[in-house]
Amino acid sequence: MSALTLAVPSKGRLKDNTLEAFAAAGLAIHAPLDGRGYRGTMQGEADVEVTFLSAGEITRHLADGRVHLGVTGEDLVRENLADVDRDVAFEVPLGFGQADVVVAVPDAWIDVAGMADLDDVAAGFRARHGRRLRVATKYWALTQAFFADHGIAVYRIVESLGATEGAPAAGSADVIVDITTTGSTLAANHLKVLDDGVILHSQAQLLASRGAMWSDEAKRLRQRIVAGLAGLPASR
Amino acid sequence: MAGQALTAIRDHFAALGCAFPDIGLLQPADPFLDTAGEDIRRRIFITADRDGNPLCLRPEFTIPVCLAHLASGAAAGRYAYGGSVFRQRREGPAEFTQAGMEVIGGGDALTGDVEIMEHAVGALAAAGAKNLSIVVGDHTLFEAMLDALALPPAWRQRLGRAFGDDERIAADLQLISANGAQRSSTADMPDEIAQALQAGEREPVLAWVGERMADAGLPVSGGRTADEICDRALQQAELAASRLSGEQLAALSAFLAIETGADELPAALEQFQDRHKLDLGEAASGLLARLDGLRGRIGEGIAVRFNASFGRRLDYYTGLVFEMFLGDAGQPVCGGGRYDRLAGLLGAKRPEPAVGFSIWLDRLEGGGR
Repeated sequence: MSALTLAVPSKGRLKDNTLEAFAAAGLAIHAPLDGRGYRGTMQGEADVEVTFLSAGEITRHLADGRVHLGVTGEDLVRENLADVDRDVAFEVPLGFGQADVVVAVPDAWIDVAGMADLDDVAAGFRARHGRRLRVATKYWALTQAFFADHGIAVYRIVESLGATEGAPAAGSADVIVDITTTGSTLAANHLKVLDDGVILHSQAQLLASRGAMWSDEAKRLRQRIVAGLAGLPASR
Repeated sequence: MAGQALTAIRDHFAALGCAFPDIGLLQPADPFLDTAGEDIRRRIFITADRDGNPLCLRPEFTIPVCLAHLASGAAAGRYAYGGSVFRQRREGPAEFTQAGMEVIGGGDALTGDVEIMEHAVGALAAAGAKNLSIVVGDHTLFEAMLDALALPPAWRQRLGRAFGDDERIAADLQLISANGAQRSSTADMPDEIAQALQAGEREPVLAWVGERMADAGLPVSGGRTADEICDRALQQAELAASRLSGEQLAALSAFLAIETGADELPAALEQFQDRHKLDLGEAASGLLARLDGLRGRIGEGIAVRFNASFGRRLDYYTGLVFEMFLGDAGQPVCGGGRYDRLAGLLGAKRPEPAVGFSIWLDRLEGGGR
């Protein structure tokens, strides 16, 4: 029985970057050679069990206390946990997977520069067009909280499970909330980010579960891993 | 206890000749999301049927009662209800008991407003509530205040939406005192278009917006049009050059600070209008007539106060709003008001003036705390 379970992403650039970061910190993660690759080990720390999960599952497992530590995107954590600070602690920002969750509108909307403008537009939308302003996003919770902070209540969210940036041209939504790394996809779709429309600067984070069982050995391993990753140049 | 109070209130409503429409626990969620806005999604319990249509646990009664009225085709109706409503909260129970009354369609607004407050007091008394106090606000008076200041429509709408939220009002007043409008995004605009915008020349701006919409492949109908975008851009450019004057700001601040007993309100309003050389006209006399009428119906024992900054931040409330308390503090045990715009939002073809109230029965037991 291992003392600490660490969840890391099971695929893509997030996985590659995570494995690189742990290796650079002297905590190399080895996937077993059985070909299935759901479980791994950490070099020099036999009491650590590494489990490979999708980035979304890692959030859930941390919240439920089924893993002690996990690496995933901050956007997923803030979107999926109703009470983030109750469930997890942000231990080390890892300096990769950087992307912003933003509010973007068609660049033809020359009268809309900020959220206050969007508030004006949303308020008059029903009277002009017979329906509420539509926002396409997969980030329901982040959108609701951010719009509420700006006093905007009268809009409808249209769920988008991919190619959100195409929603305005497709006529399924008027504006979008989406994640962007360089902004080039938005620009190519003639969308612009509002001046005060950045909801979250996201990046990959090492997180600790508050609900997991923390033995003395698990706490020691947590300190060891946090210290190792925090010492990397990218985390400073 | 809540059961006894609920029975007593229902008997009271029945004696007033109210109909009790059948309002199910499970409701289609769209009417709530469309009228109150997406933000309410965080505060209600949502599920879906097999086809994916959103359903919710009944979060309140006013919207379903209004829908039942519209479905009935009746010209006017006097409705009552009582039962559980469900709201998501961080702490505490999610199920509450509410009872209330809605009068929808027709009737004289002044009489309707007075009567609904009288019935709220009557229902609370039937439930055994003692030592009531009432706080009244008025969307109509605030609108009249904005009219009297002759503010540009964009500012007027912005302040109208913020009414009822002191922080937002303060933020909006600061915004339009310092800088008449949000910046338009001239940054990525060719110089000649930016200049046309400043000069108020519509044609070049409209053509340019149209081109950008075409480039982006935006649908030509169903959403914002080039005309609409262009009009608002020109309006914003004009507003950017203007400021809320010192006198206007002082008058608005003084207005929002009016908070006084109903008996002192006539003098307070007169003094305010004299000092700021403004005429609130029929809105002021209408409010005073309502408070006068209320005093005649409920007698001297219940304290009634007017608070000029009290409003409800839902765009279907249109006139008088009120809250009732046990003693003079704590959470309101009753909330109500005039909501003439709700039926229209729910798809009514003709105007359906409406006024109503809800009583929080659980709060009656807790002494309003």
